[in-house]
Amino acid sequence: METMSRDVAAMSGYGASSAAAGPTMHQWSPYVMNSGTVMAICGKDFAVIAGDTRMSVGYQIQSRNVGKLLKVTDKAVLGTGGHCQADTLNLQKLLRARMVQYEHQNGKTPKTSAVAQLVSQMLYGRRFFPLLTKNIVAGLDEDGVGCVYTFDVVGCLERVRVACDGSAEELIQPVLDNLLERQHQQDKPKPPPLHVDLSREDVVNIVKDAFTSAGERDITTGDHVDIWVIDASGVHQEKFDLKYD
Amino acid sequence: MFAQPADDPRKNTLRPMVTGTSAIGIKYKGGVMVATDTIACYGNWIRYKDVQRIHAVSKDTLIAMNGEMSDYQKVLQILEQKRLAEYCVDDGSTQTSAELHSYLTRVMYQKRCKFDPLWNMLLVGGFRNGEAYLGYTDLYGTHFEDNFLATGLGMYMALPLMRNQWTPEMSEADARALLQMALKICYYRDTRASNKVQIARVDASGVHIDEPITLQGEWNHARFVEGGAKSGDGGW
Repeated sequence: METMSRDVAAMSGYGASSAAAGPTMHQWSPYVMNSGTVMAICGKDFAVIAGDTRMSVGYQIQSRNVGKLLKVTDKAVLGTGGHCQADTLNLQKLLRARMVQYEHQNGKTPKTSAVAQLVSQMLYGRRFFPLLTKNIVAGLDEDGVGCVYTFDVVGCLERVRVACDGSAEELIQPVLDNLLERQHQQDKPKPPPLHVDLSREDVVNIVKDAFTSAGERDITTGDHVDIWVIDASGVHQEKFDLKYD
Repeated sequence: MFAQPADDPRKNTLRPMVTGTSAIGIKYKGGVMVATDTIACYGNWIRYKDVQRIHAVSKDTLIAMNGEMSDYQKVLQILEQKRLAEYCVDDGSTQTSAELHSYLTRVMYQKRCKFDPLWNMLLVGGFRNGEAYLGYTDLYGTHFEDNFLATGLGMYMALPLMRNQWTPEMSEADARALLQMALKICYYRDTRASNKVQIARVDASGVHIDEPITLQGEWNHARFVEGGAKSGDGGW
């Protein structure tokens, strides 16, 4: 009996390595996908970050009111979509603790670029047991210009103008590329190097349209969207309703 | 004890054996109410017919379980340890339901990160200073609050009913009626649910865990008796 279970373990590739083909054993996964979408766009003196509030498992909506955004400083917000909520919560809790430590050690709040760098390092710290989180940091940089940082699950980081992560990434990102980036449209003006060339109202409207559209086709995006605008006076929070189905 | 050869890798419980099914809970005006049935199954066999799946873990907090019974007993031990440590400090302060829920989630998350999960979905209900609290945590360390919650198959069957009927102004009697209805629906369709159920509540006067009651099913609907149109075997 024991020999048999050992053989099955070997064949499953868990616990012992074996090239032998055979039946695969069901293996417990520590991950569960609670999905959802976040996006961010930055302008000349503001940044907008948004995330829906649906939390689902498979075809089941566990809750309609679990936010994906975390205010990290007055000038930086972390958004996490396409995620395992347990991992997101872990990241958020540790990040909050690190912010307090930073402020005690340095007597100031960290810059948004430093927040992004820290998030990157925290993600890479779990390189071999990744946090299943797709993150965006949005805020203002040290010159007061809007900034957006995107990450992959293990912490690769890039500053961009617009970003979308999570389950509706494939639906929303091409629209943002078309409306805001225009990188391959030879006859259209290119955006400035660090931000998009739209007003705050236009950007918020694009965000609302993007989430409404995503909600039509992506079952894990819906219920409400938290839309947070970060400017020199702080983080302004708004809630926008999506479909309840 | 089962002997394990020394060269065998350490094995964790990655599959529940003796399980309790759905736990459901709602907030109402002046408290929070949770309910479970009272059986624990070993596969499809009803192994234990009279178990308690709701427990008080402080004077104003209770938890209700779904999942592996032995892991749930471990959870109760862990929370009792925490309560004792707190009691020994003797400063008159006790953990709020939100704090207990947060602590419990950290325990669950740490265990899942060690690939040794406590195979449970748990509801945390509490009431303090006029505020009701109802939270959820599970074997992955998922953590959220809501006005009404359900675990397991109850998520598919009880939650939509509660979404339809829940209002913040519900009285204790309304809440009880809604939970009993939801439990009955679970009993009709969940093969591992029983009609012997237990309802508990926390309100301003503390935790009250009622004695189990037996719900009466209604099996005389014409379609039940006549059976399906095709086979006539009672299925449809």
